[in-house]
Amino acid sequence: MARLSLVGAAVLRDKQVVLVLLLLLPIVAAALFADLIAPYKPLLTGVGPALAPPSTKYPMGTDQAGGDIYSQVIHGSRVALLVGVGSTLLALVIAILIGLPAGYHGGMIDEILMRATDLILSIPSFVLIIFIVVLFGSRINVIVFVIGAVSWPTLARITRAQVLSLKEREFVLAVKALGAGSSNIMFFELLSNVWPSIVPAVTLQIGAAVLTECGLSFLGLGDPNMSSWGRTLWMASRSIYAGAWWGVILPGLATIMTILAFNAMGDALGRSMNPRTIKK
Amino acid sequence: MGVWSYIAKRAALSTVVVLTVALLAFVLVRLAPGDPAELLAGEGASVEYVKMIKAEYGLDRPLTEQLAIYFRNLLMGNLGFSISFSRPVIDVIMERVPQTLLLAGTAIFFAVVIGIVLGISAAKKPYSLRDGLINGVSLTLFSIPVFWLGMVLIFGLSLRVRLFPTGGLFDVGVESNLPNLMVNVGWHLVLPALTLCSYFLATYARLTRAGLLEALGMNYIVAARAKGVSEHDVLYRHALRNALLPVITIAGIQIGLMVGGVVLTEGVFSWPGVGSLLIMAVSYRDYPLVTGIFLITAISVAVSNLVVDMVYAMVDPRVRTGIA
Repeated sequence: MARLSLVGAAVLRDKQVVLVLLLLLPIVAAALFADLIAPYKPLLTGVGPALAPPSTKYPMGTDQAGGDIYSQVIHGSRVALLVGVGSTLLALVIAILIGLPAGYHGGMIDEILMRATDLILSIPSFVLIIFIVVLFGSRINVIVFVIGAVSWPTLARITRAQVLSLKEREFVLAVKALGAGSSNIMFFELLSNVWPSIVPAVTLQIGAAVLTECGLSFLGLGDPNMSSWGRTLWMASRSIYAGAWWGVILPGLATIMTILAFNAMGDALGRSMNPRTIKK
Repeated sequence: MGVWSYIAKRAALSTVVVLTVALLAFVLVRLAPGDPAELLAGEGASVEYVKMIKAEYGLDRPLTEQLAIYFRNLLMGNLGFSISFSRPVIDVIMERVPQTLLLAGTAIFFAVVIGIVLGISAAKKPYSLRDGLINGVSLTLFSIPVFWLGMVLIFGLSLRVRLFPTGGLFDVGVESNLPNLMVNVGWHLVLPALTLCSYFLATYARLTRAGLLEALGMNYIVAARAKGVSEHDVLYRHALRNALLPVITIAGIQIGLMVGGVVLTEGVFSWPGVGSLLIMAVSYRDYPLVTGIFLITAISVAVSNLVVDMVYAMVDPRVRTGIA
């Protein structure tokens, strides 16, 4: 616990982390209270004139179908966070189930698990995701599952590398001497010490997953029943020729702000959670 | 272990990757909801055509037999028939490969050069203002969806200020004159290459910086400084050489991850490559074409990974001797 609060204090002392939390606050708030904040239903067309520029009535203007872009952006934060966090949690679980035994047991188990990891890593993931979504349908749970199922290799590699260096430490020897079994050592002793090196990679992965979902819905492969930033941007890509800059710029800034927040968080956490740089 | 046995080992691994991908495609098509015959035919196929496909792929026979037919077709380069193009899938894909190589090659070249320069510049004075700025810019570029950047560039530099074309490979009517055609293609290449380059750039800059900082902390650098090697030579002749090795490896690993950027960039700029073909195939629900593009992309990524491994083995003796 003392160690945990030490890490927490070091993290919060980093200005970049605080800044990032401030950036994420409005996004999380928008996702939680979307129905209260958004003035219109996000998927409703014809709530206003087509391609109206931003005004007090339509803060981010309207798209070519007369939909309110502001409401789409507010509701889009739900899909972004759902896909980002959901798929990353799935990837994390797979990564731990692969990385822990690979690093701990070594030998044949390590060889097989790491070859499988390398294999998944060398498949072009975005094309695989498109392929699966086209075959299985554009539903939000398919999208979350598929992004998670192809995103675990990097996390698994980090877990394994960390376990490799941890398993030779004295505290592992001590619990072994106390008679702890290997799964006990892996999931209680090692896992709790692996976190500092995985957490930065996890936040980076959330950013990458949000980016992937945006790309998918920009190609028209997002869940048709949910408002996504990629879909709003896809609509806007058709209307820029009519001079409608608002559909591109404003939703784009929300998207970039979110992805940048997660990436900058990973960047900062990588620095401040590194035990070598924690200062008393 | 010699260079050749190392390369043979990597080649075997690449073959396994390609076979697994092919198997994955086979399994996914059969796991997907709906009739595999209709998926293999493509949307909008007639009843007779679906029946013909069923016979051709042996879909009423056991799975092992279907698998044998599938692999025999693949080995002969038969990826099926695209219903929306009324041509064999392999032909449709192959005629678009050169354009994708041109775009991706240009973007990667500039990303590597600019990325390494930025990385060196950041590592010269770590944790300085300049380092922070370079880090901030590359993080931001890394967080911008390529299709968004592409749209902004089109809006600003093609629609508002009419500097560059909005998309396509060349203008109609310039094909007859080769020098004109080359200039015209180059003109059309600027915006998509810039977009894609900015997406790749961050990776190279960050890798170079991290590699340099690690190398600069090594004992051989202390030794070089102690014997009076100038700071310039320490950085460029001693540290950089070793720092660039991980850049090559990671660049190799990331080729697979970079394909997504190519697809979306081609889509925004209507660049007639494999990426925009995939987008068309998706919107027509042309399943054989989507599957074919997935296989071809995976094969080309496996091949480029192999090439990177070979270059690596030649540059770094530790790899082939297994000392590292």
